[in-house]
Amino acid sequence: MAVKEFDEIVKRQQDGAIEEDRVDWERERDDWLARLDELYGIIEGLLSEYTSSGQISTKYKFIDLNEEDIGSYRARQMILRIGRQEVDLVPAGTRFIGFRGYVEVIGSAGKSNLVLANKDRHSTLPQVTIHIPTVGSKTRELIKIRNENQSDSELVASGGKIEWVWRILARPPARQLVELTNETFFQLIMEVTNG
Amino acid sequence: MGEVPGNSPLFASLAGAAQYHYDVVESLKPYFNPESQYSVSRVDAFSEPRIVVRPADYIKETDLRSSLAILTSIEAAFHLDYLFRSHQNGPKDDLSKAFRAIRKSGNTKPRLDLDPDLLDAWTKHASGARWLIGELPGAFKYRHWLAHGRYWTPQLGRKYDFEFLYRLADAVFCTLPLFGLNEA
Repeated sequence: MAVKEFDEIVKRQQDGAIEEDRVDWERERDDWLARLDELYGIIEGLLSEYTSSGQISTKYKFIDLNEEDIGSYRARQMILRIGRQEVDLVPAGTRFIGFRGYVEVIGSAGKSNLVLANKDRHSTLPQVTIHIPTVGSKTRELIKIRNENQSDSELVASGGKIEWVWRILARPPARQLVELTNETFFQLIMEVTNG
Repeated sequence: MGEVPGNSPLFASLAGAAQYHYDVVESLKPYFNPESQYSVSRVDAFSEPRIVVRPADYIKETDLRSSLAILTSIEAAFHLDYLFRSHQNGPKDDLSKAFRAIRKSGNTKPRLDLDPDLLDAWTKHASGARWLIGELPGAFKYRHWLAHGRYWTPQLGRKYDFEFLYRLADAVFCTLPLFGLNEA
């Protein structure tokens, strides 16, 4: 009995490892860090009027992250100083239910999230179709949310082309992904600082 | 079957949990702000031992409690689905057959946090669900830590908080054909 159970555990772990091996995690990490730099560039641009006049200052520091599959690595955290208030943009990782990365925006009055999302996606709900087949009969489609059968991450792993953009995640229970503009970003800053 | 409608009991329940969570978090801010008309003097201010309370600690504690509530609702959803599918007169699909085999083997109450059989069956028989099901073992490791006194430092592969777990529950409830919830 013990031998049979051990066989099953080994097989299960192997199946999982083969599946995970398909993803180049080093490349995933490097892409994510590049996208993070891109986000900081966007925010520097949105705030340029205020930073050039000295009303807002920005600085960076490195933090340690540890993610399953990717392991430990360092990423830059952005710190905005607005008068006496400080807002931290803290990179949290690459995995957030179908997104490719997310950053927490933390102020004295709360927290919000920025996510790296498929440009065509406008809801936090994943775009998937899930089937549960019945042997000997035609596949029964039980749930069809939209017209994709892979998560965005799986699509990338399989070589699919997706345009990734940074979006603001609306607070639950809302499901909207809000475009990142100077207006929406300023609104977000006011929310997390009680401004 | 499509997206869970905004007026369904399932969505209302999950959305209600979010509303409750954020209402509590928001109400803590004026509670601790001495300049606010809603600031509340602590009646036990002279009691011993004095406990120094920071608003951030209360918000963190609220996040942990709300997280556990969300995780238990995910767990309940999978358990209800298992009971339905594993019944001898249950559905004929491959996942239900796999569940009946688990039940027949004597494992009548498989637990999401301890038994890999249940989630393995979902991964094997629900095509397109692997990436979503793959999020659950880590989340349930966190649930185990929350539900058992938090006396050790959990080794987790990611950061968990209420918002992440809410999104996870929303995705699970809306995309998986769970009997007893969004499947007739």
